[in-house]
Amino acid sequence: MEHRETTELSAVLEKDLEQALDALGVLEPLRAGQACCRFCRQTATLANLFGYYPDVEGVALVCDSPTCIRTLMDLLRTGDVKL
Amino acid sequence: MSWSTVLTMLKYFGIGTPGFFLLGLVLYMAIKYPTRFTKLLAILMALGYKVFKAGERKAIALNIEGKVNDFVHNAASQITGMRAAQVRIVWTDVATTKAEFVAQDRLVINMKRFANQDRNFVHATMAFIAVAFLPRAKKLLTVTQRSALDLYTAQTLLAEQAGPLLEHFLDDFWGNEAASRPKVMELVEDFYLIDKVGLFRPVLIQELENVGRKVFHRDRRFLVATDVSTLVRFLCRYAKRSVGDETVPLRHLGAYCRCQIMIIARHARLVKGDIEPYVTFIREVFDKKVENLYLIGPAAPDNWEFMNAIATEATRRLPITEVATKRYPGSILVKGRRTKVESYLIHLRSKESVTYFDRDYEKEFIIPALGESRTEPAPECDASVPASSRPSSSA
Repeated sequence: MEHRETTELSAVLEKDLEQALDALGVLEPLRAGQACCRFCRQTATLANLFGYYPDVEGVALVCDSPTCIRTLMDLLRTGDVKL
Repeated sequence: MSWSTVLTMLKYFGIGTPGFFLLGLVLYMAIKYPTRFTKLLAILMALGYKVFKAGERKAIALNIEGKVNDFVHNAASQITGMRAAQVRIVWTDVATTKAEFVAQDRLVINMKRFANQDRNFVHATMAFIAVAFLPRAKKLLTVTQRSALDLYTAQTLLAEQAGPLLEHFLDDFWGNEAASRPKVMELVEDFYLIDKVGLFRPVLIQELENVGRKVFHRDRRFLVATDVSTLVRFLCRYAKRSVGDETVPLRHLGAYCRCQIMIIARHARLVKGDIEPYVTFIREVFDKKVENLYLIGPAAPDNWEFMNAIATEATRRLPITEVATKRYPGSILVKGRRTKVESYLIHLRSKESVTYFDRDYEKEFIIPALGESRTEPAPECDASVPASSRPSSSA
C-alpha cells in the first residue's frame, strides 16, 4: 500500500475565532482596535484576520492583505513559521 | 372546530395522520412531563448543534482535502521519487491557552463559513504548497525561485477549478506578485513556456526533486540556486526550439543538476531499427557524469516501441536504470508555428548518481564543472561521437 505523508493544517472556524482568541488573551486588544498585523502594522480585526502564530512577542496576528499573506507564505517556505 | 376540520388543516400543511399522532404525543409529553420534556429538548438541541457544527467543519475539511490531495497525487505520480504528501485539516481546540499555543508552535488559519469556501480553499492550497511541495529543494533555492515555483504550481491546480476560485487566487496572490515582484513573474513566465512543451513536471520538477535528495557537507545554496537558474534557461531554449534545429543545446551540465535530453524521431533509423548509434551515444552521455537522461520522441506506436528497445538495450549494457516512462501532451514549434503533439518520454538514471557531496568529490568534479560552460553545445556537435554514428535530433 502506498505510504502518503500527511501535512496537518491547523484551522479555526470563523464562528469559533472569538473564543479561540479569548483563550489566548488577544481578543480584548483586538476588539479595542489595539492589535495590529505583524507585517503591515495595520489594525487587525476579527473581519480581516487571516491567521495567527506564536512568536517571540507572543501571538502574531496576520491580516488578510495579499502582501501580508505572501510574506507569511515566504516564512512558511523557510520554516520560520510552521504549519 | 371539529376533529375532521383539524385533520383537514393539518393535511393542508403536509402533516398526515402519522404526523398528527406524533404531534399529539409531543404535546402530551410537554403537558404531562414539562421538566423532563425541556431536558430532552435541550439534549436534542445540543446534539443538533454539535452535529451541525461538526458537519460544517467536516464539509469544509473534506472540500479542501479532497481537491488538494487529488492534485498532489496527480502531480506526484509524474515525478519519480516524489512523496505524495496529503493535507489534513485539524481544527484547533478553542480552549487552547497561550502556553499550549506557544508549545504547539503552529500557524492557525481562520476559515470562513461554508458558504465562503473558495477563499478557504485558495488559502489552504497556498499554505500547503509552500510547506509540502518540494520542501527539501525549496530550502536550497532563492526567495524568487521558491515563490515562482509555488505560484505557478498553485496556478496549474486552480486553473482546473472553475469560476470564483481562480478569481480569489488572482486577487490575493497573482496580481500582488505581478505588481510588486517582476522577477518572480518573469520566472513564472519561463515555467509557463517549459510547461507548454510538456517538460515542467517530468523534467524541471523531476530535477528539483533529485537535487532536494542530495546531501551537502557545506552550505551550497548559492551554487544550487545558480544551477537551477541555468537549468531553467536551458529548458526555455529547448521550449523555443524549432523542429529540426540542431543548434539548441540538449545537455545541461551544472554542478548538481546534470541532465540531457535526447530526441528520438529520425524516420530512417526507425525503419532500419538501428539502435546501436543511440546506445553508443547514451554511453557517452553517462561517461560525462550526466545523472538523468530523458529520451523524448513522438508517441506514435512504432516510435515508442523503438525508444523502448533503445532503453532496454542501454539499461542491459550500462550502469543505468529506467525509472519512468510517460506519454504527455505538448506544443512544439514546427516551421515557426506551435503545433500540439503527443510525446513519449523515457527517463534513464545513472546508478552512479551522487547523493553525498564531500570535499574530494567536489574538488574532482564540481569545481572543474564550474569553470566550464554550464550549458554544453548540442551532443550532435560532440566530436567524440563519429558523425556516422551520431543520432539525429530532427524531431
